[in-house]
Amino acid sequence: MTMQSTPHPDDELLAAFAGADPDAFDDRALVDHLASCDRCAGVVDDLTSLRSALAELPDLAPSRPLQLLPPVPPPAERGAFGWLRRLVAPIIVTGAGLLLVGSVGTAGLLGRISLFSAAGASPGQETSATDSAYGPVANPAASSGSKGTGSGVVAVPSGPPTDRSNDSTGKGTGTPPQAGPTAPAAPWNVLLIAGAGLVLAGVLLRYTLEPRAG
Amino acid sequence: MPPHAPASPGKRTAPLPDEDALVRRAVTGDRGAFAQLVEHYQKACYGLAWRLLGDPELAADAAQDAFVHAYDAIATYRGGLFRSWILRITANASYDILRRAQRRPTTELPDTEEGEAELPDVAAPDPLAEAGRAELYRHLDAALRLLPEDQRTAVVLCDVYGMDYGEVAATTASALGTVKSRIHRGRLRLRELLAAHRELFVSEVRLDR
Repeated sequence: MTMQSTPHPDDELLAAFAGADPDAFDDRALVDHLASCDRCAGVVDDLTSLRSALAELPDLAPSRPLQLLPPVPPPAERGAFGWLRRLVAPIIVTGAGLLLVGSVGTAGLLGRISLFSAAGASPGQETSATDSAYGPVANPAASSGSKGTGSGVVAVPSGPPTDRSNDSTGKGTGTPPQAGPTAPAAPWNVLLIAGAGLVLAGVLLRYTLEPRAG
Repeated sequence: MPPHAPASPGKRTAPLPDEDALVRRAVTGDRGAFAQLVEHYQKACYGLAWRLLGDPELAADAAQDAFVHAYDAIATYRGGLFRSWILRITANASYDILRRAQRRPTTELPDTEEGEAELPDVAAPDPLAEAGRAELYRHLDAALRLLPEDQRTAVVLCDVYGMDYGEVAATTASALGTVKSRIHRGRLRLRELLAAHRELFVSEVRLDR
């Protein structure tokens, strides 16, 4: 029979007791009350049964097929050649860049426009003309004006006549004729060949390191 | 009453016989072992997510997220039951989705008042066997869905999936006292909601005590 002298504890305390909460278990007054109060003991019994039932709620089949493993990059990416694979793209891009610059330069040389055209066009001519051509090399305005019309015309704006006669007569006659038609082309050709080589190497690397792609 | 069928859907996934070995292999990067473990526990994960979120699609999303997180974290696995570990991850993934859904009013969670409408068909493959248990589960899940969200989360994590107060507090980013109170109030509310079906759970369990 319920004892009327002690008031019922808060129901939350009963719920804690039903959940084996250590604090509630250690609560002497609560334990004593439960021993004598049918109402509260009944609540605890209900809640304990409820917890047992909750603890056996079944697992459920997913509503759709789930992917068990996240997609990962192919093993080669993370394998021994991973660092090499990561180099492929930069190699191809660099190669393509060099190829482009090299082609533009070479095409320019083969055509009539070139930064070096003045030097290449008149290697064996008189010193004043050759000499004057070295002025415009650094001067873009002069290079555009030097297309085949004659180097003497170009030389005029580059500097005062006194400079020309005194200055670098030996240099003018010495080096430019040797370097003549081939030397200016070399840097562009080297770029062209290096670029092509890099692109080729990059493409080859890509297909050797990724057999499944082929 | 027919005997308990071992393969009944109304059961919890038991640990795999070679689970420890599988876990060790998974920890060292064996994808096959990891896949085996996840496949084995995917129903447990989905069940937890469904009970927290109340929506089949969101629950599948949460379980899927949990598998990805588990894969990322498996190298740091430090022992204990694999089931508990992956359920903790699932609880976190579900709770993240819950929070996101609450911040976006357009994708509201299903109305809890719909209650029993979308309950998973627990007993469908074998409607005659364990009909009583299946009905109990159905009522329990329906009642859980009628709880306020904070109480439901706390009760599901604690009483359905056996987390302690601290784990629930960590998962829900709540204070320990708050969590205790939610659990206790949730239990009391469940008792009220299930008062009409009391015989389903009380009679049987009382025999156990």
